[in-house]
Amino acid sequence: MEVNTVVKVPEPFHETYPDTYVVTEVLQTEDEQEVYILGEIGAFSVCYLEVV
Amino acid sequence: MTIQTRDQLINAMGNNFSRFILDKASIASQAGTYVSLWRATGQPGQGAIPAATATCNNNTTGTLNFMQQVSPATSYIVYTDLATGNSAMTLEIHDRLAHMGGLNGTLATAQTVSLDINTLAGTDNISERKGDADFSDISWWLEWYTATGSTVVTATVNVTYNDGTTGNLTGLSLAATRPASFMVALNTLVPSASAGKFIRGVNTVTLSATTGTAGSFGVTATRLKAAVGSPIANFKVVADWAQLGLPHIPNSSALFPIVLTSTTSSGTVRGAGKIAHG
Repeated sequence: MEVNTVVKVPEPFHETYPDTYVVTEVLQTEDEQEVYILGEIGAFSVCYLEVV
Repeated sequence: MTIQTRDQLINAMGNNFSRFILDKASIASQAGTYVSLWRATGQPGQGAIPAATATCNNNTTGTLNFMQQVSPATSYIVYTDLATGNSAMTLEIHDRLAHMGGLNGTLATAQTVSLDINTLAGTDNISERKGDADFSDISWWLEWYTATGSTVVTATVNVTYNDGTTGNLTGLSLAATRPASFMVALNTLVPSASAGKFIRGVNTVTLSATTGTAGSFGVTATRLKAAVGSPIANFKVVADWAQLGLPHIPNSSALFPIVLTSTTSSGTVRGAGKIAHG
């Protein structure tokens, strides 16, 4: 998964974020985990992303 | 008996009351947010960071203790005064029904909470302290004990409603670092699909990703008892029984202060009050 990938967000976040989103940034957090930024809605672990 | 007349009220205010003192040190916070003074030092003393789910009572460190009554006698807050180091502050006195801590800001899996008021009803007079049978009097919070990280994540809280059904609250965006003592209300996050329901318990909290720092936060259930506004810094504000609404204080109530801040610290919070009995 990389920047510009279009994704959906599964349970338990899909009720709040029911649309498709674009990965805008991939970054390493302070604790050295990789997270995917979906614009303004913030960071998600790869386990909560489904490529559309 | 309960206090039913002005004469009884005046007599209790003068002759049968518990006095409490509020004198809390300032703690760093965020402007325009609720800030728990549970961990602020001073009087009452600094409350402990909870681990597993536990009820609180009038003897729990961090609470305003008062004389326990033998039914049908009971207790009411009848007077309080307040001076805050910051202007435009609101003090709320809540009964801290139950709490838990130890949630981790770096875990993106569902973290167990298991704080259900129904299962705690037999402890510390929770059955009376919780108020209405449909749990509508209870305020639910995420409460921070140690700051989590700066990565913007979403928290989804899974709850049990008053009718026994379960569901997820609307996702809560944790934008930027959440400092210790930050409190965010969960009641406003009941989604439209569950409109009209009230939260009975919290089952899990799931973060969408790591915040970058473990920190420590938890879930707290409270019941609002009284609120006093402090519009001017260091100016003594007085609220009597009528302004406070003569709030009933059942035995075992764990009274503690929360402030709604106007700036990036809670400021000092000083005051006193009376809990009348009768």
